[in-house]
Amino acid sequence: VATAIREIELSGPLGPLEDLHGYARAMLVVRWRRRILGRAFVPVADGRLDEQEVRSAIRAGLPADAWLRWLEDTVGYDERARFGGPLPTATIAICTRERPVDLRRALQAVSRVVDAVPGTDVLVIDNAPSSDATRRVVQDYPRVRYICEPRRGLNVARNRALIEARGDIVAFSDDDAAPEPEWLDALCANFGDPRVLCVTGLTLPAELETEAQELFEEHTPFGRGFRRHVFDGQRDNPLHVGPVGAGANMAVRRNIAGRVGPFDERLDGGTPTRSGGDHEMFARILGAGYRIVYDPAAVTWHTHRRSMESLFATVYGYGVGVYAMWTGLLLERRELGAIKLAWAWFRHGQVPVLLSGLRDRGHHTRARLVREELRGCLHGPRAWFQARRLRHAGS
Amino acid sequence: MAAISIIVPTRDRPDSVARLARALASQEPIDGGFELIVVADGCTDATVRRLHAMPTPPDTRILEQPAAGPAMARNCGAALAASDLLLFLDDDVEPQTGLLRAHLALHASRAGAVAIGYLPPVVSHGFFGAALRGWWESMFDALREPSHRYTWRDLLSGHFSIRRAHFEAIGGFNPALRCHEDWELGYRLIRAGYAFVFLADAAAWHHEHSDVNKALRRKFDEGVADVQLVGMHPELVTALPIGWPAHDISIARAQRLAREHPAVGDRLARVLQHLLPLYERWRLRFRWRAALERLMTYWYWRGVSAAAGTPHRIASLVAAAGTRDLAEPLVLDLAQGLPEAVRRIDAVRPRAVRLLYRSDVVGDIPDQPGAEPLRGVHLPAALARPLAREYATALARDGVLPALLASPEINFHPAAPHLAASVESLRTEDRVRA
Repeated sequence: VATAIREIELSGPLGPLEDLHGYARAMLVVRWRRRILGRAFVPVADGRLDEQEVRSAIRAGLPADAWLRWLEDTVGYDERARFGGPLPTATIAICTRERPVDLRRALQAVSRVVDAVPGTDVLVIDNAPSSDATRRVVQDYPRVRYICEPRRGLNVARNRALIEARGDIVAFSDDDAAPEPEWLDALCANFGDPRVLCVTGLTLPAELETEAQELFEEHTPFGRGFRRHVFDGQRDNPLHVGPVGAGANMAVRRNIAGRVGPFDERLDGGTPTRSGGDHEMFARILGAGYRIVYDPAAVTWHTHRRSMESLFATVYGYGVGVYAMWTGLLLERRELGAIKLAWAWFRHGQVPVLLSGLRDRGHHTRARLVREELRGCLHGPRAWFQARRLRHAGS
Repeated sequence: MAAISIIVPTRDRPDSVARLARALASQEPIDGGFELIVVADGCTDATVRRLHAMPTPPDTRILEQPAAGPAMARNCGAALAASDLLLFLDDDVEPQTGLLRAHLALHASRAGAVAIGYLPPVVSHGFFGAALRGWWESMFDALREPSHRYTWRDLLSGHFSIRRAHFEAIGGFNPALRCHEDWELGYRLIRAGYAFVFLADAAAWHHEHSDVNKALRRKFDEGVADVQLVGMHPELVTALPIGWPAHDISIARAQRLAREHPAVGDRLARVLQHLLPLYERWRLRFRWRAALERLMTYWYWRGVSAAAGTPHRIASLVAAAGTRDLAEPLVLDLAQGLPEAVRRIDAVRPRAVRLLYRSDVVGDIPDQPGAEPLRGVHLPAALARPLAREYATALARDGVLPALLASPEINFHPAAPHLAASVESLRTEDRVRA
């Protein structure tokens, strides 16, 4: 049932795809001169795809406006160039905790980014470590600075990165993600607009080898499409931040805390709320009238959790985090819109999947995922109060 | 002689002028230095006395005039300037260190340029502050784009520089206007062929202390000014809200209230304005924005009605503008290659362009009242955005667009038949002219 991931460069000759034995389908990532135009899924038979099958899959799977990316390239138009000027300096920050194998892979990818942008500052924030495994991995990469943050919490680590960073922009990447060499420049090119406080990028699956990874990609994909989009606090609903992106692939201005405050340390991994720290920051940025850009030119490849247990735990954590975030926004900032959003998500997002799970046994696992998510949602408000209590006790 | 004369009109804001003077004193040094001319326009407090008492840059003059508006104040300041280069700044701006150097460098390299500087806003917290930052920055969004086509409305009297000879030749600001006097000057400058240039490096913090009340009063003044502008330059009517059809029922209602029942309209506006803090308290930002939008529309039309007098006068102003003569477009065949089309546009500087691809009509970049003639750099942006579909269709038909990318969005039918009909005649005329 696994899915092979292959890249197709349209500016070169197309040919058959071999060596797909053991895969039921393929995910074709289609590029035009490195720029990703879209992706297409195609079933695989006999371990190969002939050229005609590849062409048909691309034709059927590409977004209807993929031609626009090609046209922009042909006429030499880049909408980010409007803000011109040299790119700002940047720091890459990886927040991690006891995942040395993943971290080594991430640092290898980051090294290629640094080769492309020499002089880039790289930080590894080791969050409340219980061993020196992370420190030992970082020692193998002399261009990387190791920072130990003893207080537990992903948002605590993010705030530490903002303090330690030397660049004007802090680009966050996960320890289980591998950014492409052009990733950092693509993120930074969007900061010419002074209203942009945050930029998110396209996150694609590095592998779809297990059922859990397939389900994750289907149920909660990190990718937000192949078209650049500007989210504007003057126009868009600041609470509806799902389409904005995710913390696994985001960059913020180093001085963001002075504009809208630091990351909320009651939220996200390492706290009872489990997630939601990135989305709460997005909501605050938009709520203050600033902008966030989603730019699919900033590509990173994420290794999703391989086991079903991890997947269920992750989805449960997302439910907890979202509702904890909404609880905070409602109680502390009087954001009544959170109630409306919670109802809309339940009515139009979760209920249909639950019902289809009851009707069709084929959708049973998907329904189970939603049940886990709902369990998390119900626990979210309580988790927010727990996290607040812990934070008060800690401070 | 100073290298640059800085002219600052002010009214009852001595603290702001002091901040400006401090910022100018810490500018990067420039050859020849600068002079500062502060024109106190109808000050009613102790502004002039305080200005004399405060530390100012060495070459500073303080003038006083009875209340005659900022346009007249700027003209008076310019008349006394000793330098060949004039820099106009508002009193609520705080120049960043490289501002003077950036203006001087631009004028040293480009004769006949009018340099518009950047004014990043400093605003208060809350919905209104965020909205203000949004409006203010969006003005500069377009200016930053290399492919921006400058128009008369891009000139900002709060921060721009111009050669003194050019300012005098054009006749300076029109003192009859108390608002939009910069737009009116911008129109005359563009029409006379001066090139606008946006200087992102010349930045001055704009300490915007406006509030909802001031913003609505400003909208009223804009309505008054637009009636005056149309009286002076009737051809601009289609570029101003006064000349646009009411495309929305709320605009039509605001127009009717302002025109026919201003007493009722004013009361309703006050009630709506009282709701704004409630909406903000409960974070109902979409309602807040809609309410503010309605209020601004109402007060704009209230200003229009107050200035125009009778409803008949507004209609006659719009009608008098009539249909203006549009410039004949330059016809270009994109099949000759994009670089060639860009080169032709740069050589001819047409007001409008009609784009063909062999026998297909791709579309027009139309004439705009008060816009600069076209430059080559405008073409790629037009092809990648408003004309993208038509251009891609033409490229697909010619086999240039990779077949795998030709989606149903690209239609293969001849585009815009009404344009196609006129193409042949234009081509013939073009050949005759050539």
